Amino acid sequence: MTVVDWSRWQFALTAIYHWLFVPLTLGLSVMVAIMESIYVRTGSQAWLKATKFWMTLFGINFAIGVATGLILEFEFGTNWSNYSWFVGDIFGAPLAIEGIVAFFMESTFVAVMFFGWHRVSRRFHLAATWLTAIGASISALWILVANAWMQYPVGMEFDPAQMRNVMDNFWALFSGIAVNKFFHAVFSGWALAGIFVIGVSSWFLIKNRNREFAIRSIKVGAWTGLAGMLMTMYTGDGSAVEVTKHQPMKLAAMEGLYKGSTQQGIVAMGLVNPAKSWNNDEDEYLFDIELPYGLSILAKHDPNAFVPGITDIIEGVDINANGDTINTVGYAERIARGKMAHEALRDFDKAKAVHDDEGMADAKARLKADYPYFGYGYFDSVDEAIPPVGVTFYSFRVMVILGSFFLLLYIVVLVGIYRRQWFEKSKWLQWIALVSVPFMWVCSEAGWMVAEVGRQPWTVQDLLPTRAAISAVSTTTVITTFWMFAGIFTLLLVAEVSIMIRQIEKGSKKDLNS
Amino acid sequence: MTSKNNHSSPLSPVAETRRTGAAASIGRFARSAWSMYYDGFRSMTVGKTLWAIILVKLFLFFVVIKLLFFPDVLKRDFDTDEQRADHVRQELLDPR
Repeated sequence: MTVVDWSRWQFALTAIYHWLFVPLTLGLSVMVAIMESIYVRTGSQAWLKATKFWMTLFGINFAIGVATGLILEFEFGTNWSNYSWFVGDIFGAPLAIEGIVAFFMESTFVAVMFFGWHRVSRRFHLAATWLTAIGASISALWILVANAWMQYPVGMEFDPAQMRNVMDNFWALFSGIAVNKFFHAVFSGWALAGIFVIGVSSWFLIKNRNREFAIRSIKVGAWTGLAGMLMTMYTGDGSAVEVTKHQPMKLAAMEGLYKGSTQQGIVAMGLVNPAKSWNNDEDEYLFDIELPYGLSILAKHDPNAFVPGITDIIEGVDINANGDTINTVGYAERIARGKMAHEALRDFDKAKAVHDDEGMADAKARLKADYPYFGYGYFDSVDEAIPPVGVTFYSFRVMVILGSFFLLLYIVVLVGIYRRQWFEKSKWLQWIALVSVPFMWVCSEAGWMVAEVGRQPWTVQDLLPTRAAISAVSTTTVITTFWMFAGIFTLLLVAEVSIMIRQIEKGSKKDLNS
Repeated sequence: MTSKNNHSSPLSPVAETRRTGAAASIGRFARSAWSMYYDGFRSMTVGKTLWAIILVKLFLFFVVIKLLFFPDVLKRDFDTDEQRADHVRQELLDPR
């Protein structure tokens, strides 16, 4: 493997581990705040105990997960320094805001949450708990705005003298991609935490401990989680529409679709054919079960719409809403124009060296005209511009199938919990809820794999491919730190799980019912 | 010397009282916040383990990993932004 591959694996490893902690923080903080709100409203000690129990688990997850995201920023500066410079303040500004907001909100309100029970009024404490939950989501907002910009770079102009993109419209960062991505990620955290709360509470029921507490917790977990899951699906639908507009190649890879059509179906389950490429006649799938009209509806909210496949996009073929075949900029042309942009940048460099202002202005104008295809100039063949279809296709299906299962689980649990006798007798359902907990993380991580693998080969869509974003670092160093991170993060995960299990066990032996 | 010059503060008596009152409030708030953190840390149970993990983690991240393995290469290797821009231009026009 090359240094680019190792650096990508390292980034993926740290991001995946980081995301093990984040969604639980996002969701559990909201559930704790809801439980405390009920306590403040009713004065019930049972709700106070429930709040404190889940708050302790939140604290464990928060403490172990905090600062794990910093490693990603270290990697930007070392492994991806070309990228870091190229994106300039557009990427740096949201991350800086995130750092400041996270530091102040978390150090202040988390402390009040844990230490302030007998120091501040009930209402002030409740406000601190809600602000912790809101602060966590605001932190996520800035990270996701930065990520969305990489997928849909807007609000900037490239300055060849500074060799970086300069922000000219801050508000453009809040694009449709960013908004959908933010709500999709945050609500998926609610859905994840809901399954966590239901799973742990089901263990209480299986063990016949603190049954009232468990039922109470399941109600909050299931209602909040269901709301989160429905919103995740709604914003996922919005994301699909945005991806269709701005990253059609990613959508085609998600579907393993090479030749699109109007009334395009979606593959519910299937196996992609590894021998298929954009320019051969192999079948797309070894086996598939298709839902008619599905992809047209998902991508354009119109069952009759045309959805282009990988080959269509490469050849620059699309069909508009009137049914007319239109030509877009095909990939061969994009590569040619990307190389012209590179040539213009070289000319700018030469003119700059001899202080030729006229030459610099001319080169800058040529660069500006072809800059939207700058990244394609790194490719010699269109094959290099196609994302890994298999990983994207399967990750998408893992996310959707597991997400649908969890929606069903929420509905069954909610119906059951209000028929309490049935629910308490249904050990099978409690076991399913318990065993489902780790699969919720699989679902959540699969979502990120769709987003990040599907956008390859780009770090910044159309402008900077992954292989150009890398620094001059040695493969040995990256391999060393890769295994170092694998060890550290695995230890952190083991610590998290073991401390949590110990705390759940300990909590289950106390009286949490009244 | 006039009597005005004998005043150590240029503020009026009312403003001076307000300032003293505000300073006292800030002081009370700071003491209260300090004791909340102090007592909170002292009475922690599972939190002590967590804080140990946080401190070890931060030491590893910032002292070992950041200093030894993750320098900001552009800051380390170049003195000015112009040099950094020139370097990145060369890198992007002649990628590995």
